[in-house]
Amino acid sequence: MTPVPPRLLRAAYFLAAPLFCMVLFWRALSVWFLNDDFAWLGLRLQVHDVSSLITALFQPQAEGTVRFISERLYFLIFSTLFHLDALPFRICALATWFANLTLAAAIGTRLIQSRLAGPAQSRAAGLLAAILWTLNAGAPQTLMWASSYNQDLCALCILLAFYARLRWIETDRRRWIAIEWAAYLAGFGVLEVMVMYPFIAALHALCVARKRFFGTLPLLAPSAIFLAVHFFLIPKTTAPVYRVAFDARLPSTLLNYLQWTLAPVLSGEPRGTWHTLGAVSAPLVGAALLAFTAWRLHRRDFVPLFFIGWFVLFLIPILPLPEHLTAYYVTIPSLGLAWLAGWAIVSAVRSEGPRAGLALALAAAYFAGSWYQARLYENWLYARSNRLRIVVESADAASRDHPGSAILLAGVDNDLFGSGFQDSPFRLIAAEKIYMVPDSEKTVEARPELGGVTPYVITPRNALEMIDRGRARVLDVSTNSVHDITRTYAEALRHDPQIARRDFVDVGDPAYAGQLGDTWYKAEGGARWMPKSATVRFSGIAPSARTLHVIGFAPPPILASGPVRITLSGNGREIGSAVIKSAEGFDLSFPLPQTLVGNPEIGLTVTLDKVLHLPGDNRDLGIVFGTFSIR
Amino acid sequence: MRMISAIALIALVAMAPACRTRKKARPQAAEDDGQLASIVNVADPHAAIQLVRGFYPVENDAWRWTTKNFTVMLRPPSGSAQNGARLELKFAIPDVIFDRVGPMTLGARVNGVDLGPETYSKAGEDAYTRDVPASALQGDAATFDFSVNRSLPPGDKDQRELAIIVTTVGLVLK
Repeated sequence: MTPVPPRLLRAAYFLAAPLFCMVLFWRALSVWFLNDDFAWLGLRLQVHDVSSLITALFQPQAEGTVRFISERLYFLIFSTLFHLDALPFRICALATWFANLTLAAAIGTRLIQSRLAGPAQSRAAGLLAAILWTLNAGAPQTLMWASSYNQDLCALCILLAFYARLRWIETDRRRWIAIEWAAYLAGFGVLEVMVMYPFIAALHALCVARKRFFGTLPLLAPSAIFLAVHFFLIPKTTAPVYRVAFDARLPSTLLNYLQWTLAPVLSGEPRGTWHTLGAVSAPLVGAALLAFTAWRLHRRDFVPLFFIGWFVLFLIPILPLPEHLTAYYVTIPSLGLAWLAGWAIVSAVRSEGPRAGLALALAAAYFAGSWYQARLYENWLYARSNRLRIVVESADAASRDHPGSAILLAGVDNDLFGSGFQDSPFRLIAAEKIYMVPDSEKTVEARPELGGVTPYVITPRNALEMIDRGRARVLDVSTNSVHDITRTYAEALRHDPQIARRDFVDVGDPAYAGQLGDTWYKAEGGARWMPKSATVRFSGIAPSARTLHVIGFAPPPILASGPVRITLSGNGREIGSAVIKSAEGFDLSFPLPQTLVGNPEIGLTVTLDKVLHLPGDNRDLGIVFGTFSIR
Repeated sequence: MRMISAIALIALVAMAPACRTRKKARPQAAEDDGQLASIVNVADPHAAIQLVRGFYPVENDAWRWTTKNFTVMLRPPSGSAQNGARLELKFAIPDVIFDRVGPMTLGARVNGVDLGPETYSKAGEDAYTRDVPASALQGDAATFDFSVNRSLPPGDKDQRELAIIVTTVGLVLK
């Protein structure tokens, strides 16, 4: 038999894992944006000069993070160059991942070499580890959701730094130390887990190259500085989902991530045959890896400890977040167990006994379950993001065809709304203003902390007025075939007995100006300041209405001298009052008094007990209001 | 160096699909004739604008739950302004509702005309059928307000008020 040329073998070694990844995630190139992506894509709209660029790059966001490379620069550059084309984002994510797989295979091969019968076997183990890793529970999200690119890029920084460390140990060439430090320091602009790298380097030295241990200590300095800045200088979010908790949930959180790593299918829906397969195989895979580790330790080989340590150390930063269990968090840690498994499988297959059969069976279970889960997630993500893409592109096209017109969307369901409506995707297109057709806002579940559904609400009366004046188009987005139904919808509105009702006012939206009294100031950025007193007009109270809802914001300057009291009255009768103490958005509800029922119209008066004066502004400024509604 | 070349090659292979272009989505206007439908299949997403209020999202691509009061807008078929038409609401009372609330009475009004109640004493599929006088069908659209006397209030398992399951509602010539 003719031997395979070494060049072909080398090419196969480098290409196998990326090609496998491409086969698994071929649809990734067609996936569009979703949710948080739109917040990042909108970052470029905030950049006008050097000062705003620095703010955009370094102001802490979300849970108090400053990932200026993997989130800020990444989205700023790509959205500026490619706007809403997701393909370059996907290509970048895949290219980074291919580099990760190549480095993972190379590192695995180096760590395992001399522990197997020959270089071919250690290469096979490294390659197998890379393939197992691309099947990890976090890979689908990391590769197909642009907001998760930080995991992908951080893995590259870590692997490049560690690869350079191995090469430095092998060759003693100082350029490898420079590469390690460059990748390591860059990693702090990518993802916070980079702080664990010095411990990885130290653990490796302890397990494999003890003479190099003290050389790892300088790596601790940047980590310590980063941690100090992160904990003491960056304000933290109060959102419950990101609340750090060192409590009895730590072990269960660790167990949860371990299960997802051993059987990625367990990160999906907790039911069905595939889930059962995962529930059975996960403990078996875990037991097999432990047995392999024990066998190697018995032979005084500590490399398996390094692999397990990799998994645990990179999980440590996320273990205190029990309310934010997310599959993509295992992307980096899972590589440790992938190396261990690749080595164990090659070692078992070499033995040709029952161990080989068991190893192959467990590998097949992991492979099949992961493949299924990746497909499931990919299909889900594709369907959701593609539907949203069609809606956004259709709204963009309609806005360009009808300049200055608002767009009313009919057929927005909970899935579509939850795909990103609350992350403001429409500010990225030419649309003047986007609404959901009246009443459809009641069929979606909006997150109040993201502003609720209010920005999309319009009354039937205002909708019809805008359509009749040629200032609005209606798109039916209930299916992927979007239709302009402006005429038909206007016909339906014209016959709606509720058309004359005025139960809602968005004071920041000029469309509602007709319901506002004279004292309101000009709308600014979707809201409107009031002086000491202002009025809003409503229809008479509908039989089903029970409460008055008021949403607004008390700016810090007015609270500097103490709380502010808001008093509301309807047609001269007091409805209620509230004291605002903190400079946050408020959402107030007041029961409607029976004495107001039967009045043909309600004139709502809002009165404050004080106003403020800002330098250079001679207005009496009270509070900023958003919406009033009678429900 | 070899590794860097390999990584670059792999990255280039991955970028090859970038050469393709995708046509951007655009709304279609051909079907917008400004005409409402006389018969509404509640599962038809394009007919949803005629389900004015009181309907929940489509389930199983076939039906929708309603609240106690729900409203549908229909286009009177041609000739109905002279001869009247027949209203037909096809619905079901699921066992889970019937077992809890018992017999249910359904009624409807259109343009001030009370079409009269009907009581349903068993669970299952049924229909509410009424003749609608010509006087109530003048114009391009008629708004039908339906009401059911009983419903399942919001609970822990389902936080919606649930009355009946509707599949179609329509006006046909007598």
